[in-house]
Amino acid sequence: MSARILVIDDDPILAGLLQLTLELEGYEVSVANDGDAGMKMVTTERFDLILLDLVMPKIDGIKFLRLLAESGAHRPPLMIVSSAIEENLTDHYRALGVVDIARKPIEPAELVKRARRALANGAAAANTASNTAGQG
Amino acid sequence: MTALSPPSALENSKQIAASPARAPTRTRKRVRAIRRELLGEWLGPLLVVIALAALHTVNLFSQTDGRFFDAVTVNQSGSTPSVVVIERDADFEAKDSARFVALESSLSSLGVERVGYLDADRGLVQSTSLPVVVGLPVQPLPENGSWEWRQETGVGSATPAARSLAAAQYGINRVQSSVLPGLNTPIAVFDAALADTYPNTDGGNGRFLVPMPNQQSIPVLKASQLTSGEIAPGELEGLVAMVVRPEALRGSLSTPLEPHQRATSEAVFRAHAINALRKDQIGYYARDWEAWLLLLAIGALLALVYREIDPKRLAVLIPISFSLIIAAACWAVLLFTGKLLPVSALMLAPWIITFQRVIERETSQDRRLERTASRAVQTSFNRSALREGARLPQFLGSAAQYAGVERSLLVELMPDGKLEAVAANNASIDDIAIGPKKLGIILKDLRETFTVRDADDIVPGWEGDARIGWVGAGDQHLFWLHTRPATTTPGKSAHLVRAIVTSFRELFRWRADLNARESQESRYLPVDNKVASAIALVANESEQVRRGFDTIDTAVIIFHLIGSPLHANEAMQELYREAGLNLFDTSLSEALLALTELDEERVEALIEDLMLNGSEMRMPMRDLGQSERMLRLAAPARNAHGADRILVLEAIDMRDVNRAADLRKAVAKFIDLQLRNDFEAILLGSQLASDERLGSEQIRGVVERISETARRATGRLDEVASLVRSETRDLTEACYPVDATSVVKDAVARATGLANELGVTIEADHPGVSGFTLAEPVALADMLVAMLRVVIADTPQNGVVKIKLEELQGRTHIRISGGFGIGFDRLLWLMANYEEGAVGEYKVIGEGMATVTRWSASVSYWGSQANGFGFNVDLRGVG
Repeated sequence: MSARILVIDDDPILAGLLQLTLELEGYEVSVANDGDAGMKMVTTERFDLILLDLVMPKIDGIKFLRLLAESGAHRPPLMIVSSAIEENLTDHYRALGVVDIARKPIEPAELVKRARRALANGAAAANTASNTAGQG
Repeated sequence: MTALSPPSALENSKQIAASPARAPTRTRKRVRAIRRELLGEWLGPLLVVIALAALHTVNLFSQTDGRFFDAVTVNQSGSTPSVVVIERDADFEAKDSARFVALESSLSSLGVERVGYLDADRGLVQSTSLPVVVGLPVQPLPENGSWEWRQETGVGSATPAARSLAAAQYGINRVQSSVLPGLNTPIAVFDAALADTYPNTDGGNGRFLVPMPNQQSIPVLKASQLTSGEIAPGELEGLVAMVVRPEALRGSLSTPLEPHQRATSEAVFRAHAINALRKDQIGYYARDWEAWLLLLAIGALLALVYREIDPKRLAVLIPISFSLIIAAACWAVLLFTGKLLPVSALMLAPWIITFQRVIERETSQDRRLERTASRAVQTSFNRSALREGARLPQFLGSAAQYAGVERSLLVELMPDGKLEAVAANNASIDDIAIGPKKLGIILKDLRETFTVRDADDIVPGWEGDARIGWVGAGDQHLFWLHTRPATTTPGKSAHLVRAIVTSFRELFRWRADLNARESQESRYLPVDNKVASAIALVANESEQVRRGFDTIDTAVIIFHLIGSPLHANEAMQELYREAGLNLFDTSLSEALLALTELDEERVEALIEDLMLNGSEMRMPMRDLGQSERMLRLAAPARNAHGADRILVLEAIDMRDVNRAADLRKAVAKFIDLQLRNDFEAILLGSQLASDERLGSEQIRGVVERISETARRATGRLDEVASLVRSETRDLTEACYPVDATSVVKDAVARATGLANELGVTIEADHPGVSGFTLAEPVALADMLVAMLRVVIADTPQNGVVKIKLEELQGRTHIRISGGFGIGFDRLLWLMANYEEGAVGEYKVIGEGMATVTRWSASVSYWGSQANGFGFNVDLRGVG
């Protein structure tokens, strides 16, 4: 079964192109155009990776991260893809479950490569977690 | 920070190159100065004294000099007489010719030293005891100016002498001669012969002045008394006797004793002369060269005095003082030496020289005033649109058009009575439909009364009420025909038209006055009028410049080169008030010390450098209030080496500079972030479009997305470009993409102080990462702070004030709420009347509400007592 990726970006053109790029790599991709829609999808569906933009109306990326942490829902690996990266907040992002941060514009190949790595890290982490749970 | 610009090598080379060229100029100036000094200060007095000396030489002042002599000598005390007058009375005359021998014998026995007969009828009697002088008539020889006896001198052993009197001076006999020029030898005059004294006076002609003191007694005896032995022996010891007929004792001459009537006898006059000669008390005129020398000396002295003293200031005191001193000196000289100095000329000299110097000073001042006024006007009008007087009429028409005057015609009445159009606005001279004769009467009346009248009868074709009035000056008769202003505010427009006409007329008159020099053949104007016009013109111009100066936001003050303040605009006056400085007596260095953190030594070094090298320097200003300013001190390079150099101190408000920097930064950030998104889309799209895995439909879709992204990117750049252009108008009105979260955070931080003070909590809710909102951050933050403060102030202790920033698609909302509650009506009034009644925060909110509308934003507010109140700010979001 192919991995499921959620793209949350308020720019529909970019979100569509990201979707198409990742779909060509064999992933199943869903799109949400703001944080609010993204939250709803995360609580109702299960995703293996979330690509998140930061600057969005209604619920911005950081608020989304906070709400997701507070929601108790499944938290897949998160990868921030945004033009508004503030270096001093990197640790803060990582504490909220972010595994990778990419500043736009990013080469499509590089994006796919980093998405693949994030998925692998996420799968490894999930295996570790399930093994630990099984042992327990 | 101070930025100093050292003088460039080029400037230095210019100065060096200019030096040799200036040398001849300096020499010329020096020569001119010397010439001016010689002409003005020395030549004038010299000419005056030369003229006076010449007039003295031709005896123009003999009458006044004689009066001075009379005044001094008549009041002198008398002395023991040395002459006795013997009257040949009837008893004496009845005797035979031996009576003369008897008389001389008696006189001899009485101690008389010499006897003189005024008449020649003594005969050839041989006197044995006394020297005898006999007066004989003489007559002038016109051909050579000498004299000769009128009759044979048959007087035996007696000495013949001329019985002559010197000519009276303006009717008064005060001069007598001691000798007359004869054909071969000089002829002794009777008085001198009897006194046996021939003074060498008056260039050798022996002319002398006869002092006639009132108190001088001249004894008169009858000859019969002497011959009959009535006089005691020795009674007349040492005297000389003048024997005269009774006619010679009758008044026939006007003398200093009785100048207004012929009451002095010839005998008495001669007796005074003989007495003065014998006692060496005669008066005599100073020689001509002495008079010249004295007058030149007094001229030089006065010239020297007036080099030091302004002649106008002591125009009366100095001549009076000099006259008194001269009079006293002449009096003393006459009294002690008998020399009569040229007192009249000497006393006139101070007055005439003073007058000459005053006139010359006045003329020079007039010339200087005129030059100064002319220069002031030229300087003032060099940069003025009104420099060309010929264009004034056009300005009048244009200005009136702005005031709503639809048609106007400026006409000039020429000397031949014809009318000529000078300027026309939607009108023509052919519009005038009245006959020249009738029009001439109307125009004459207007010119004489300075009134404005209806002109519907003059230009009946004009729609609307027409008016006409005189707007000329001097010899130029201009009349302005115009319609009444057609605006929605006719009162205001009419007032404006009147102001324009008055302004035009004044400018025109001043220019006409100032140009009067060129047309003095036809019209003379005293310099005072010209100067008054120049001053009025310059003052008017200065006032307008000052008003314009005051509208500049930047605080500016201009200092004279010596550091005294010349002019400050209102912004700088306010700054001085804030700094506690007195505008009028604070020097540049004192101002810099007060406004900056620099010490005295540094300030002096800065000023010195600036004065020497020109250029400009900047330094941070000490904190005053909330403003952040930078001081700029400049010596305009154009005048860097001129005597009229000024120093300009300018306080630049750094908020504007910072705002501009913020704007640039925000725009750059916006472009960066937004284009990153677009680049990402284009990059992905390009990659996908070349991917073989995609079908043609998918590729078409991708390409469309690339095109759309490119259009979007271009549109965003255009939008930002238009926003940035508004920077040039007013930075507070300009809006650009800003991070609204930062603005809200800033506002909360600034309001926290008051909240803490009142025990109120501010609850802020805003996105973690903000998009872009169109606003001007400083103005928006100021308004938000003011809103927070009014809500905080109305919130009870331990209460909460909320501020929420919400970014939606294309809009950004900022909501502030809290407080106990203000009734909506009250809130409405406070917002509506912030300019009149409310101050502080409500004023800032009110002004902010007006400002945000220029950003396509809006502010609403709500309130109800006991239910709190709040503000909603709705802004435009981009990106």
